[in-house]
Amino acid sequence: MLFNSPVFIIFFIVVYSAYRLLGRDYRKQNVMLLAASYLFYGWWDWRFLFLIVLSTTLDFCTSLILERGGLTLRQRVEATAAVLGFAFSFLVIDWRAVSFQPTPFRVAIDWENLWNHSPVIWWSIVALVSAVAAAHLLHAPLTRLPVRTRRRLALGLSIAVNLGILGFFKYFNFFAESFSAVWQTLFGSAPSSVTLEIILPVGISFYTFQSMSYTIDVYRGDLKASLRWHEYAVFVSFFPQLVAGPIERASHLLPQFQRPRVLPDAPQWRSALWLIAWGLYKKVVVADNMAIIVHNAFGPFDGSLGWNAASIPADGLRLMIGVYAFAFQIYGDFSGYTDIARGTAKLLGFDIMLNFNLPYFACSPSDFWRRWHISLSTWLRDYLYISLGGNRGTTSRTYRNLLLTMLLGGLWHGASWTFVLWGAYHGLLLIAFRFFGLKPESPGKPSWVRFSSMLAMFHLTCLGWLLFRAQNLETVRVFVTAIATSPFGSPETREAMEQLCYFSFFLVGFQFFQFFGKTLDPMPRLHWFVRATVWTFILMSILRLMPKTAQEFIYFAF
Amino acid sequence: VWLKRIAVAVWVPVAAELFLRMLAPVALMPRYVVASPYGIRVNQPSVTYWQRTPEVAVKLSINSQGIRADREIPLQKPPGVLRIVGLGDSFGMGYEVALEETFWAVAERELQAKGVQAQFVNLSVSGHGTAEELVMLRTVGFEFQPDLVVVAWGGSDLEDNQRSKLFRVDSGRVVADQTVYLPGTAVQEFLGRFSLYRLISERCQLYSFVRETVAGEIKKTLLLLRSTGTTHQVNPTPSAHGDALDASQELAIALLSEMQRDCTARGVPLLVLDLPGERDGVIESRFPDDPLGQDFGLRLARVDDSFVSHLNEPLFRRRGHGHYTPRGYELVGMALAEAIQSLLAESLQARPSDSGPNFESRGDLSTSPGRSR
Repeated sequence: MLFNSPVFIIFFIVVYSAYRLLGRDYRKQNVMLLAASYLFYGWWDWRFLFLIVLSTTLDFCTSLILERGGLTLRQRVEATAAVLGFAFSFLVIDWRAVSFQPTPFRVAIDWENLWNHSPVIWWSIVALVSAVAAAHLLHAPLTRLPVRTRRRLALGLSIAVNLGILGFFKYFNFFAESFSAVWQTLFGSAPSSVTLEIILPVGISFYTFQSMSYTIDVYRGDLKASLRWHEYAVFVSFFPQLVAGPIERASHLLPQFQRPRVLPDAPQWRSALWLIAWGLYKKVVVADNMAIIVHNAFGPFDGSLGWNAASIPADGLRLMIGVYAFAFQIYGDFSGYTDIARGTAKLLGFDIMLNFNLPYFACSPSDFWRRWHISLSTWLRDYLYISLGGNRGTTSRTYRNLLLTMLLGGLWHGASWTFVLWGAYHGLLLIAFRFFGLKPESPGKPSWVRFSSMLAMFHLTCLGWLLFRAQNLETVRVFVTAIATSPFGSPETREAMEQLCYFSFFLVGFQFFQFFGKTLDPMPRLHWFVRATVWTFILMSILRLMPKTAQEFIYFAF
Repeated sequence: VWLKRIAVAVWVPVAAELFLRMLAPVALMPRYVVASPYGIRVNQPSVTYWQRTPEVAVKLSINSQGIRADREIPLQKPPGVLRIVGLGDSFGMGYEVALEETFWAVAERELQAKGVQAQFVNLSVSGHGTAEELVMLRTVGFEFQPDLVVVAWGGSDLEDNQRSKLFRVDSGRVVADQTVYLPGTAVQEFLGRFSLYRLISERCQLYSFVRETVAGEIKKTLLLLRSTGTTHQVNPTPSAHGDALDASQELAIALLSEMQRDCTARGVPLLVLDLPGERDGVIESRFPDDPLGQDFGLRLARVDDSFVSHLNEPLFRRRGHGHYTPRGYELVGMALAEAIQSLLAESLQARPSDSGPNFESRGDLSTSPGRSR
């Protein structure tokens, strides 16, 4: 279910109405939001709902063991019912055997295929039931362990299982293929096929990191463990930010589920609606139209579509425009998603953290990471960089920590060497700026220094986006060679340039306005006439300039 | 506060109109259709209006018979004339080109240049699918005493037929379902009485945009509610062609076969003109493939090969409603003329003693399948 689809509008209207009908009974609202969030996720692929429930239940239990030494009987029953119930509903039952016809409404069940016949599933069920039984049996001995051992054991279990699930679904094939390639290089023959047909569950990186941060915070004593399974479950799966973030911190979002929410007043409503409209504009007008320019530039090099690797295009300028277009596409796509998520959550009375703060106005790499995907960069800082020692050790250790953090940050985005390279590139940029002591964003610098730093940083970021978007290193080589050696245009270049300007001029202009106005929400300050004009422009652009087919959000794949 | 609200209410549509005119112009394609006594939409008789797109401005004149033509067409066929009744949708009506550039006009000129006194009676109405065309043929088409019937078939017919629900397929045969399909006609007829509405519909970009958007959504919903054979279907309709066709294709073929039966009963051959479309820069025909390779026993004239060989030329309107350019219509017209000529040649071969292109052997022709490219 995409934010930019009519189905989501209907879904949200129903959810919002039900939410309002439940009044101030926040516990019932939580249960309703949980059901809605699972429906939202299951709309994409219901089979992976079980994974969220497994991850949720594991962290719910481990955090209670960490903090309180164990679970109450009621909590154990809740957790067991959730895991086994969802395993039965979404692993044992194959819902594809149930079909319906809208008019006249009919439901048909193919009883023969209603039960999943895959041996893998049945072995998984046996393993799961055994694990649940073992957990119940081991609960009492576990509570008697020394506190330190028990806490470490619980945290280790949580991290191992979460990373295990993430690693299997996201990285198994990547590492298997890389291993196979290394083996072939060393021994001359490839080992027998080790890759599996694994579907990447949408949003797995987001909810796994969110869930892990909760357990770590409880371990560190920064947060109280949640006592109710459904309360914690709705924090993990809250639909506005479930599939593409922001990666919320439990200390910020979880307490909002533990008390009655205050519904927005008129100015907050306006602010929420503006966030949704602005997010939609960035997604469907900017990002989805930029995708066409990007596809024209990168498409011939994606995969093996008969492109001759030896030939370098003579119009490097067109490829450069393709890279600029990708910079706008990925920003519009991801920040658009975040804005819609923040807007919808705001309508329900929730505050979701800021994820983007005018990133292309950054003056240095560290400034960029304070503005781009803030929830991930702060996650990596708090749970990885600082855990590695941060900048507390020697200079070389700081550099090592920076590089390692950014490498893993790159790998977080996907199982590909280009992402690793992108992470390494940003790590090296951070190290280089630190080495030379460059801090153009610090106060007191002349405005021309800041402006030229912004321009330079934008181009360094674009070079990073080339690594990020290219499907292989050969594409990077071709782009860099073509841009450096033949920076010339062609009729297609002009067309691409016109499209780039046409679909991005308002975004760029508005962002300058936000930057110089020192606010991300300048709308309330505007004269009513200007506000009405901007609203009309945004809504008309969404309706008129939206491509015919809705595009999925890029970050769904991460 | 109230004054401000009123000012906003006035300014917003003006700003929206300015946005469309300055940044993203839309095609102004007013439609003047009215309800007919036989339950389908027909062109409003005796109106003249303009279609204005960022590419072209075209005047459409509808005669008193509801036909896009510059003259009245007598029901009685003049002697020595090969009268051809044409059925189709907006492509058949020649949207986005002048009357003399429609494929009917091109084919008429081509045939006349070859000595065939052809006269086309274009009964096309924008939005029609094969189902409405069948009704049109039965109620109006045969009154014109045609020597040949040409159905301009386009990919949108598949959905239009399901949407109209005028017919359904029962055991491989077409049976009447609903008797009336007049979407939005009553509202349009009511509004059409006011000259202000006509001015707005022909001049206002915002109105045109809203109307097209809303109509598009209604059409999608109607299709969702009325279509069968989608992935949600529990028991797909048993198909006479096995699993080769889905429900929409099955219905389209059944309707064309029904038209052919009607024509054969009157001794008139039927020619199906397969209009190519474009998707992602690729020319394609959505006419179903016959698993037996016999075009379902229909006489089919295809144009997609001709379009593919002229891909370097502009064949489709890019900034309007995606109809053909004059060149596109010309290619279709030439292919149509060629197909008619080959029908004539076959007719003469069947009856060598006959003189003149008058389809005396049309009974035989109407049942002989084949393909013209």
